Amino acid sequence: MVSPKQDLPQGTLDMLILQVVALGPIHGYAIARRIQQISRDVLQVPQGSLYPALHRLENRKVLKSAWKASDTGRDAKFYSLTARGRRHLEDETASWARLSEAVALILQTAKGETP
Amino acid sequence: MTWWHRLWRRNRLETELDAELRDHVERQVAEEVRSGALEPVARRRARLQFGGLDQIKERCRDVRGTRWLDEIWQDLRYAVRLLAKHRSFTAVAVLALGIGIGINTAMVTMFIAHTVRGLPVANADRVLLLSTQDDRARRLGFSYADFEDARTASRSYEGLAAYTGVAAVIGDDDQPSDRYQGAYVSVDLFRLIGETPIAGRDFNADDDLLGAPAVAILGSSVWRSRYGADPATLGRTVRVDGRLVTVVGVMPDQFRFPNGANLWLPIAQMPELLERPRDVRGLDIVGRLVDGVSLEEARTEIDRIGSTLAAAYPASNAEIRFTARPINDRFNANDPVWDRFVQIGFIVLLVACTNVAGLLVMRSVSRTHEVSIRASLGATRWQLLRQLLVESAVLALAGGIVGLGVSTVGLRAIRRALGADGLPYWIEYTMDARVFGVLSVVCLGSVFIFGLMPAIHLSKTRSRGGLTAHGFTVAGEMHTRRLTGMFLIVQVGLALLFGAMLVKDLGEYRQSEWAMRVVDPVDLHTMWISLPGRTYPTDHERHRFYDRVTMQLDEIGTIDDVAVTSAVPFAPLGARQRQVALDVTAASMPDTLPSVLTVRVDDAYFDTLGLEVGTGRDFNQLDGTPGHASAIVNRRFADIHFPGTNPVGQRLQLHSGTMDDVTPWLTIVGVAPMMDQRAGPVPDPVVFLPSRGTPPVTAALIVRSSRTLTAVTAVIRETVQRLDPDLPVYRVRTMAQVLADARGGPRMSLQLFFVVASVALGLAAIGLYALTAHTVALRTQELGIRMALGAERGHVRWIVVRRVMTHVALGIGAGVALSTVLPFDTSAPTLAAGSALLAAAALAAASAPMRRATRFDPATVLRWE
Repeated sequence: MVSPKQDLPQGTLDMLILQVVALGPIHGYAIARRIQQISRDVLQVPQGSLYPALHRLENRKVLKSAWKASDTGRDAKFYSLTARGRRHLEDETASWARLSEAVALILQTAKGETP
Repeated sequence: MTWWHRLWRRNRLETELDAELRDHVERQVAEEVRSGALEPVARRRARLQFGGLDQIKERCRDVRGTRWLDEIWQDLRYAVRLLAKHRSFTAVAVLALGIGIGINTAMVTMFIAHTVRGLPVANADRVLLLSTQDDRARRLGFSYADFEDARTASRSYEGLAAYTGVAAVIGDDDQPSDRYQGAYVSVDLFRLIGETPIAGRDFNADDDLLGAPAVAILGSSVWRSRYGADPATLGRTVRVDGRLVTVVGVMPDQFRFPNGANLWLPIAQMPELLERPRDVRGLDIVGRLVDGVSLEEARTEIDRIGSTLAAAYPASNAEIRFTARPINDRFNANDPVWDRFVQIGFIVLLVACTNVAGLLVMRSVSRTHEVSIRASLGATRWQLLRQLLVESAVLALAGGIVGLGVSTVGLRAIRRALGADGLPYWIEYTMDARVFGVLSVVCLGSVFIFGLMPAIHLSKTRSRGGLTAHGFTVAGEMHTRRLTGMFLIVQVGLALLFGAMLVKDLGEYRQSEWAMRVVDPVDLHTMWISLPGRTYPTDHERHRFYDRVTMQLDEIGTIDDVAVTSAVPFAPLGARQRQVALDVTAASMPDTLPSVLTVRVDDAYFDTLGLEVGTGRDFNQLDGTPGHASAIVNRRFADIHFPGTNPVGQRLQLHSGTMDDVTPWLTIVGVAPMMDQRAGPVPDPVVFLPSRGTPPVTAALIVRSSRTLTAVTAVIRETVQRLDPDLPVYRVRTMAQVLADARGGPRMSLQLFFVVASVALGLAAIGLYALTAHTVALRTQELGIRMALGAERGHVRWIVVRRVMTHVALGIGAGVALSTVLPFDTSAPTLAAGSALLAAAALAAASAPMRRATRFDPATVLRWE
């Protein structure tokens, strides 16, 4: 099941992770699945990037983690947002919105001028 | 989880990381199995998709930010194992570094104790010392009247307190009286400098009132030695200079302000305090600044107060300015000798570092192989360099620990040699944050000085692919040779400096020994008495007392001679420094007059010492009486001021402090031999004045007797106390002891220089020897080949000698250049002597490997490759 793979732009992985984690405590595998599902299989997060990113965010105290019993019966590491993470996510989303708006605007204008 | 946690809980982190990644794989397998795949297939696919588990783990570990520490930890273990394996190398390097760092730390400790730390006063930079200055910018104290006016007028201080040192006799009915250093102080002095008594109470405002009951505070050592630390001492009445005084407090152990004081009296008790004229400026003033007032503001204010008083009292204050400075500007030494100590400390360290650097370069030859292998296995240049630097750091750390021991032992020895009274009370040679800071910086810095160059040198190995049998390559060898050559030059240069300094210091020491030998100390005894102003208010009474003492002593058979003087030879105590104006230059009196020491002596002084007044005559009964204003000068004075002419019959005048304090013109009647009044390389010019005119308040008795000091002292004490029971005889010493004390200070610092310079010279010489031997040994093969090809033995020797001598010559050049840059007094002959010595050492070092090289069987040498 190799889906059409789309590389993530630099820095957006963190934001996506935060967005997914914001919905409630969640473990690494579920994060990867959730991103894949929500993006309708367009975005696939390689494990080689996911876990270093999770650990980095945790070290920066944007995420916190706890080992809890999961549906499989084994303990899994559940990540959740810290207060700082919540603020961070808001900032990131806002600036991402501004950025994509601006990019979209430029693209439209460019199309308009050179048909 | 903090950075530290991540470092310390590594094992737990590892387990969790593993569990988390495994969980991921398991979930993926489970999901695929749910959607119909067979488990082994699903597992294989999940593994493939997941990629290298260990790579992901590595990347997660990178994120922790502790990786470099893990690596350094590895380097550290490796370094320790390696150093432990090469024991003799490590021992030599650590010892050299330890000596270097130890001497450096000791010097820095002394420097900080003497010139930086200052009085142990809380917020010392907020405590100011006020003083006055006359028109010639000479620093004076305050008069009591000026002090009171300044205290009333100033707003910058929490309070101003005056103090002045005094020696006082404490008498009790149940034990003999004794003399102590003390001070008259304003009642709020202790509060201002943040000191409180350990027993009893501080002075209070009532003690300051004129006519208040007389009280005193004792130092804890007096309290212990004289009163057995008895709490009942508080409230006890004792006699201070014959006056009844109640003890109200005891100060802490280490507190001896201002100058080894052991007794404090309120300044209101100072005799005739209020009658003192405005131009008697004997008081020192301290004040603590009010919060928010800057030093500059306080200076401006005190300057303004000074000007106001100058306008109000032109007769006494016209030329007087008031100044303020932080108290420790005064109590910290300003002597360049401390700078020199520190410079020497750093140079010794540099010698030690060069030594170790040389050792490391030498060893690098045998390590080329190891480094080549590591480089071939993929170690980066930085990793190689880091490994080598970590090794150096371990060496430096071990050296630092040894150094700490060396400095502790050394300082303890120095402190003991200085004696109990050898240092002002506030100076302690202890480690503090500053010393420790310097020590750490020195250890770290030395890593770079001695470790960096060999490390860079060795880490270059990679590019040369030195994987030959012995790890030797010609290029590498050349480079090593160049480096060792450089270290050789530095070693020689530094060693030369120390050699020259040593020669010079020894010369000075000889000279000062010689200058002191004029007086034969055998059978001479000295002791002091001090006549209180209360019982001996005038010259007449003092004179009568001295006359009666000497007359009574003259009648005692065991005493051959006795003299009364204001100062004993070889000790500056009691000799007064004054300026001298000479009749011959009276026409154009210069602005700054030359200084002399003046000593008041009676007509038995020179006889008692066994000296003869060479030119002219000794004092007689008439000198000092009205109409007989005369003086005797010493040979040194005559040589300076009357070179080539006879000073007898010439006239001189003595000035001191303000210009008003001037003696009448005195006629020189004789020239005394050149004996030292105080220790030093050059004797001082001394003017002897007849004590008959103005007998000293505090006088030394010099007694010639073949009896022991104890016996002589008993006789003198009995005679003196028969005349005045409250008069202690103190500072009892044989002339030999006086002489030893006088040499003590300078001899101490000379010895210190001697030890330090010898150690440094020894270090440098050993380094020189090792490096020379090594550079020659490096060329053994080449020399063997030359021999095999038919070179003459003499020619081969010449090649070696030429090379060694080139380095030595360059080193000597560097040393001479350094000696002109650094503030060391070296002279051409000492430098030349040092150079010869070093050249000889280098040749001796070269000779053994050279002989070996010329005796090699060419076949053996050739088979080395």
